[in-house]
Amino acid sequence: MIAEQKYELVVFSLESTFYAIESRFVTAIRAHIKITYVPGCPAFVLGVINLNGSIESVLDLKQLLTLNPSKVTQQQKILLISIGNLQTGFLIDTIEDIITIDQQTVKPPLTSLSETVKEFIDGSYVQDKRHIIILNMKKLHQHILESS
Amino acid sequence: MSRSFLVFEKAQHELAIDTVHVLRILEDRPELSISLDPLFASSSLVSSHRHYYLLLANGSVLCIDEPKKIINADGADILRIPDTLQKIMYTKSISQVLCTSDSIIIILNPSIYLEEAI
Repeated sequence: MIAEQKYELVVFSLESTFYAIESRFVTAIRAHIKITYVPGCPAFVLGVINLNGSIESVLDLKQLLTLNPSKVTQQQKILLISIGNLQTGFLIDTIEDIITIDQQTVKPPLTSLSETVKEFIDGSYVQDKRHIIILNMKKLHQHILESS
Repeated sequence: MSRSFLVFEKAQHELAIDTVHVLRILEDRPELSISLDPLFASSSLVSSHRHYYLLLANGSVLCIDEPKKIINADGADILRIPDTLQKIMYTKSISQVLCTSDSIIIILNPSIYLEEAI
């Protein structure tokens, strides 16, 4: 679990599900840029984008969580994150909110989630009847690096 | 330093090969050619009915869907794929991209691809 008592989360939606990432891992949010497919990658890699002269990968969060592949549309955005030596983008639908919450208000992951998904989740937070799934970026980072 | 790339289509995607690797483009099917299909294992591969063949400087032949154009590029147009992405890729034959004004084209190193394929 996260050590700080309060922490700031960036909440976003992806196909009617709300997810959150600690804001310290988020470096930028960009409008949808054309993603170029890269052959020879795991299926969760959607491709690469050119960000001001730097090539960054874009990942499908749903496939990373072993869910069905995301539907890619022009309206989506790219949430750029940085953790350890990894800089990458997640394709998301919309940014919903930036919230600061108390760690004690985080509930265990929903029982309806699969065990595989729970592995990458810190817990869930309920706000205005919305269940927000809080992602554990360190575990996701490890999972990405071990996916070759 | 300026480099010249042959851009071709494979499975509805554009790839580029440095022209130093390419001797000739063949229209007739040779006895033996190497497919690029394994690179597209994670995607729904859409095959072309018509194929062309690249005779490479090392004598190997690479099967492609269609040659498209030649692009001359400066060093600044060629960017590296992030190390973290390269580490999780199934191939070492792709490590650079060619950036044009409106697109990114994946550069394939055919020598490394052939080593991996054999």
